[in-house]
Amino acid sequence: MKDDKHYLSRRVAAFCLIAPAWAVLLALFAYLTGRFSGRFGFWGWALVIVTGASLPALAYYWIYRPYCRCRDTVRRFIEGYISVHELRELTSAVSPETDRFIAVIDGAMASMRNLDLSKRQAQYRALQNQINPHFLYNTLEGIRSEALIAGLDSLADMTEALATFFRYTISKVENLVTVEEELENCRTYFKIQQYRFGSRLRMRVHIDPEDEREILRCLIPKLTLQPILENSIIHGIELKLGEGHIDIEISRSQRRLLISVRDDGVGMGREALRRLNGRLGSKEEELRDMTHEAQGGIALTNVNNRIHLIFGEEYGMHVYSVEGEETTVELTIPAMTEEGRAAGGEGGA
Amino acid sequence: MERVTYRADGINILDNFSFHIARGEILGLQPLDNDGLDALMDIIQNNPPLYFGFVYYMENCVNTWRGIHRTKNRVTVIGSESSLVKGMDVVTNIFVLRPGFRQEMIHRSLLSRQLKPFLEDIGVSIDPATPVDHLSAFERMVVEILRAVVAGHHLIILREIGSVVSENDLEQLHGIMRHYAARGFSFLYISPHYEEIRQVCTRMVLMQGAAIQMSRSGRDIRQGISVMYYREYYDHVTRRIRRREWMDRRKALLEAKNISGEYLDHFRFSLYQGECLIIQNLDMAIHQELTAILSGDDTKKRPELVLGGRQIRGFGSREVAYVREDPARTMIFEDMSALENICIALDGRVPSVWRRQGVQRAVREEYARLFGDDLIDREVGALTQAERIRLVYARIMFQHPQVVFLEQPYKNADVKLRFQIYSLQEMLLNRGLSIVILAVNIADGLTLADRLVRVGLNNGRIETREYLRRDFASLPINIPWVDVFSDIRKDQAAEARG
Repeated sequence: MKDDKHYLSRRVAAFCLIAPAWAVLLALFAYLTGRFSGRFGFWGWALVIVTGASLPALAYYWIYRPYCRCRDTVRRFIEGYISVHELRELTSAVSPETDRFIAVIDGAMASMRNLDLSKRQAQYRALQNQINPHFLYNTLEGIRSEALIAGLDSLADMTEALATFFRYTISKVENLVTVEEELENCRTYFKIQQYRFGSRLRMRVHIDPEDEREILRCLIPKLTLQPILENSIIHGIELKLGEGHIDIEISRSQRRLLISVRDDGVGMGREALRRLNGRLGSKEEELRDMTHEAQGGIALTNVNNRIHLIFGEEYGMHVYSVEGEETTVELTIPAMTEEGRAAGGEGGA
Repeated sequence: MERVTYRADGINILDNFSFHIARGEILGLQPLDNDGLDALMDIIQNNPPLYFGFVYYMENCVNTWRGIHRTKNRVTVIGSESSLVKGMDVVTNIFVLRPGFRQEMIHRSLLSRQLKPFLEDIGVSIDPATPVDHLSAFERMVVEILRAVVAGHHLIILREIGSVVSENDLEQLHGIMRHYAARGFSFLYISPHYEEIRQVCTRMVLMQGAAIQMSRSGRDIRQGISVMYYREYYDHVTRRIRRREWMDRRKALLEAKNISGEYLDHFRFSLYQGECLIIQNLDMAIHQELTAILSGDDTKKRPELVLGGRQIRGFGSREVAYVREDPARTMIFEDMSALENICIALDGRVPSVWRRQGVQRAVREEYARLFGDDLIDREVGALTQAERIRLVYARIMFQHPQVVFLEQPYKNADVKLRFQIYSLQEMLLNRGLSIVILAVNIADGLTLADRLVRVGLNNGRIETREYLRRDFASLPINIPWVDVFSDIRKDQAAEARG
């Protein structure tokens, strides 16, 4: 909470004291002027006019305008544009009590968030323990060897791809990975999917040749691209008849990395798209994430929430789509390399 | 722009709108309607208060919903109207009027010398001392681009310029854009025609209903956009092209002769009964001269018009009608009702005739069926642009002319409006009227046309070339709808083989 916070309740109270005090002083002044000089005079009238004008001005600038700002921010919160945390960061609040009330809710939500995180982590650990990665990798390696001996090269390749995919998703513990690693994982995932779809599925990766080396070294949250790719295949191309194409394009500006994943699948209607983009931009989703179990389209929201948490509100995801034509998922992430992070913290390259 | 929500009068004009232009990029924006486009321009230029979202310029946050400084961004918008200061010369507009100019004494010769390398760089020759009022549309745009470059405006928006400069000039302008894009300037190129966008843009977005519908980049931009985005219009147009019967050369209905001026020298053309002819001027100066002569604005140069074998007095005769550019603004009588705006075309515009209640009632009944009650019974001031255009065409139809001249009918119209104008022109043709479209940018007219005459300047001499409908497929690919003619030609060839 900021120290320079203004409370409207205190201002209203102060104004309620100031206004009568002004009136009393003014009456006293009028009385004394009348008593000693016998007439009110120019300065008397001037004082009355200045006082009369300054009180509404004070009320407007000191109380009404901060109230409007406060009201507009609360309205944005209700409409899902901002989070409870951002609501706390207001420079003016209604009263210390309402501020504390918001702080309590924010705390409760943070606890719920932590609880949810712990629950998910516990589930993940339990799953990891059940899986026993080494046992899984050894088994997959065994299957691959058997396949090679039997001359089943495609089965051996598929098993190898599966093992590589699991190694990346389960064993790699870093939060941020390079674009190169993430793209490699996408290629592995795509290879696995190609065993299912065959030549029906095509993928192209285009990286701005001018900045290719820099782009590949940039850091992005782990498992950012693969869920989008999966979404494109499952919800876009799988439902379509005929060949499907996925294009991943990556470019960068001085401070930003722009990633777009486009598929020519079935797309989605305008209303569905509006709802999805609304969910991606909405803070209501935070609450919904904690209170509801996963429903459809959660992968994109999840990726977007992670980007928001790691890099801030000004980065994230936007989806464009035309029904029956195509869908494009566009990501904006700060352009940050390992060296840049080491030199300037999370600040960027 | 990241997740911008812009609200006016409690209504979301832009909702959760994300959009970006990279440094050195020429981004094409094709609006299928005008929803949210003005708001987008306002946000890019002026940083108005946002309901939510963030706006960045040159990687710095210049506007957020929390409200920071409300200064304007260094962005230049170039449109069909000039933003140069009239009465002043080129060099003053470029150097002196920019905010950073601090010199007390203006050294014109020095500034002219400073301008020279800029002009040489882009291969354009303009006299720095020329008053900007004397510049052609192309030169005016070049000066506006140079003014933006000199002022360090790194984003230049070109909004629907295709209808005011000719094809050749447009090509040169694209070259200038590429030149400055390579030097780090970014361009937002707004055009309703995809064919124009794909000539110059490195990426394009399609906007509809105040939202970006799709984004194309690199080689995908060449593949074209799907007709899905304007399916109804596309289907209607292609159906008409396939259905329209080939017009045999019949006896000419109208002969226009002796059209002469500074550029035109005894220019002439013929028009056949029920025909749609497009006269495309490849040079803006020719277009201005031709329209001034044909519309009667240039009273000294009268063309010789022979209609059905007898000479007529141009537009003094009710057998020929002329629809000016932007008719919603230029051809409506604001102080009259919608019905009176139609009735004025009646019988030599004699008020005692067209003001009669009985006459107006009859007209109302007939035209309400064609154009709708909502149009006839309303005040002119309350009509939308589309309704005003319908009103003008209703008046033309009521006049019963044999020939209608249409000056740049599709200029600045979005897809919805273009469809309406197309349908109205189709209605005129179906009633047996002949149409002459005078245009710099053919836009959608080609699909309606039976013949196209392209007029250009070559070494100071006028050159004309006529294309019949069967030749449309061989027109340059950057002309809208040429693809459709190529497809039809392929289909016909396949049918003939099969």
